[in-house]
Amino acid sequence: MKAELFSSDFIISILLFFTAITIITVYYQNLQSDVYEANTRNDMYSKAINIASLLAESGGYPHFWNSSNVKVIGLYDSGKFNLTKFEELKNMNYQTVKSMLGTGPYNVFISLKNVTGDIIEKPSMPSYNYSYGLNIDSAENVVLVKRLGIVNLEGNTTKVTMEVVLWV
Amino acid sequence: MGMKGIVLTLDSIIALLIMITVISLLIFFRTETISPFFTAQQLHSLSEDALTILSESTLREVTNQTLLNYFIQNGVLNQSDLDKKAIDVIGALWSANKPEAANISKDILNDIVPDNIGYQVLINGDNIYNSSDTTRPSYNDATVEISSARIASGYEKYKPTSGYVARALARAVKKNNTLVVMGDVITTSVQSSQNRLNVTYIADIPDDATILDTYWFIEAAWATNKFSCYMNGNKIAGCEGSIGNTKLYSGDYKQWMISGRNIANVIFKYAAGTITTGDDGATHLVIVYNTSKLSTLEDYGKQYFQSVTSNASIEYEKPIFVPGNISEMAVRLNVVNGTSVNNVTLSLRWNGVNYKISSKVPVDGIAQWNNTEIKNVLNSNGISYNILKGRFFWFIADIDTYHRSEPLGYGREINGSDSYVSINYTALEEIYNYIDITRILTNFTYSNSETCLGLSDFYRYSRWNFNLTNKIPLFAKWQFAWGYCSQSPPPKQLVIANNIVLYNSSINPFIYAFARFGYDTDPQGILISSDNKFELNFTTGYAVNTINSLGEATFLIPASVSYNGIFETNTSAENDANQRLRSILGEDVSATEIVNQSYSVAGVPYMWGPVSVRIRMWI
Repeated sequence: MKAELFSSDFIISILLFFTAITIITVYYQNLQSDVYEANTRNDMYSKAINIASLLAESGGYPHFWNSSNVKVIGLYDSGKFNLTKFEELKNMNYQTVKSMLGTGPYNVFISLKNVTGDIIEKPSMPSYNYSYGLNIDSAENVVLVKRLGIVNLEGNTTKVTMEVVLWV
Repeated sequence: MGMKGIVLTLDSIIALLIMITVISLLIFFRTETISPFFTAQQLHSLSEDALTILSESTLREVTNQTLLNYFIQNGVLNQSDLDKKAIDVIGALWSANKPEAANISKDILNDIVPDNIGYQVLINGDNIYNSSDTTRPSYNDATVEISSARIASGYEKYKPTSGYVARALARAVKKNNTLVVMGDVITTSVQSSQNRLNVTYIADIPDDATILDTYWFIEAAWATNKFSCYMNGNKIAGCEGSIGNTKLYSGDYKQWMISGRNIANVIFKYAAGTITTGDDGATHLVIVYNTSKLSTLEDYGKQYFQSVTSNASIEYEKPIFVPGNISEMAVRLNVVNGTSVNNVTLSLRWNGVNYKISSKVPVDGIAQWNNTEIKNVLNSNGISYNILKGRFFWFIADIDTYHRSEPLGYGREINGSDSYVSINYTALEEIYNYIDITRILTNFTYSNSETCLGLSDFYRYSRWNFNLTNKIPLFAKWQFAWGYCSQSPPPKQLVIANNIVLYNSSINPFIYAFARFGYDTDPQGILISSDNKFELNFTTGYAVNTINSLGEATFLIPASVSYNGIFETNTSAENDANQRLRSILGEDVSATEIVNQSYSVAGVPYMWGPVSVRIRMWI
């Protein structure tokens, strides 16, 4: 009887031990995943803020750049977002833009939205909107940075929000 | 034995349950957070963008046309305003005290600043618009707040645009100013009736000064001490034979005073029944003079000791007041080469507590302590230089180990002209083009007579009232004739300025010798360009002689006035400017030479600003 008691105790304690080990392992893996995710998000925020600053505060280089001669992408000109430059941006290859903006492994989506939150369109060409990049598609991580400004939309000045989205 | 196995198993199950619970809680409460740094960066970018929109866009471009039409119909704006930068129009409306500045600011920013962000527009600190009362986050609940600012200026609205404008500058003035030489606390033994404590007080007034009035209050350490007084080497008859304290008036000694440096001496003597003599720190020499110097502020960077001689050890307590942030301090004491002084001990007193710096043997008559030595002692006691700004603290120097009672010995001497506390501090800003004035505060009341001292005129409650309207306050200082009936627990000491408590011995140490108190304008509200009130409130056992105490306030007056208003003739414009200048100078200063700058304006109104336009955002 004494021996049986000991053996059942032993089995139960082994079961408990392995249960504990399993729980700790799962928790540790989750924690590692969280840390990785947090690092990724911080990296994405940092990049998104830098990209938004570059686009919103610089005119790019050369000053009157186009899709074939651009060295640095920038959208700001004389107090406004320059839509001509945005149109040049739209003509550029996605991978080239990603490389020039330094998005790293992340996808990028840039848009200009009006005060109602809609992406602005060219009045003379309604299907032409001012957005660029890969739209978000089943993303694991998304960060969004906004900048404020105005644009001259075929003669009408409009307040806009430039949104830079990085996602992966 | 079987029971033991079950118990152990139960233990393991309970342990497992606890572990599962803890882990579950950890998982449950694990939240994903965005670093406040990124939030702050985003807010900063948005506030910068908002300022860029205001400063780079015309009103027409960024403001709702219906609102603009409404303001044009009401005469608040005109058509030409629509093509001005938005920031210029908002600034002009602000300068004209028009509330429409808020409507326009809100209209421009409200539909573009994200809804989860609160914001405020300020000009020179004045609120123009604050979104806190809307559905946006309230400023009071903000967790992260960032602001950006730009300098702006522009033309004023609603003013005539042709005629003459003028400004005036007082190039030469005559001002009535007051110099107060406050005595330090200096004592020595007079166990031997032969001993004397000779204290020299230096009173430097400008070389061109005309002395209008003067008085000298002398108070010895003990009520029975005798003393003699001299002004520039001349014995003052009215002082001879004084016991305890005396007040000398202009007629007693003014005839010996000169412009520039005056040297006053008091020789404190033995008196029956006392073993020490000296200055109890309430002595003050007051000189009211007239000068053409715009700036007469003393140099707080080098505060000299008074010259002292005695044939016994000396305890010298020097109050220091610095109207700025202190970065470095050093002390130098010249106890004169060739004397037999064995050592000099230096301490610093803050809030009634002494902190010993160190004792030194003078080398060639000099004992000195550098910044590191002083700072280390203070820091090790949790005191930083920051808290000394705009308040009195004390350096205490013992020339030889101090004994209250000791026989006549060799001569000790402090050479005041080469003994000083040197202080590096941030000097007062905005002094240029301002005139400093120091005034004795004569409006005071007192109550609650303290009888335990056996002296008349000592009160537990004292109050000073003074008005600094249209002046820029710098600091106020008091010197108190104090009295204490030793008791345990010690009496309560409460100091209040404009209803703000500055010192409370219930939470701070009891101050044995409440000989000085002073403060600058920090914290906000204690010294203002309006009515000011300073109160002392002690409980039984502590009191000051309010009548023999002294308060002074130092403030600035602008020496110029800017353009204001357009006049039909050049003469009218200049007369107006001169009148405004005289008004601002007040009774303290008279301008002996005024320089005017005037010009005609046609279609060009005068300007507002430069001002700081600030946008604050929070989340």
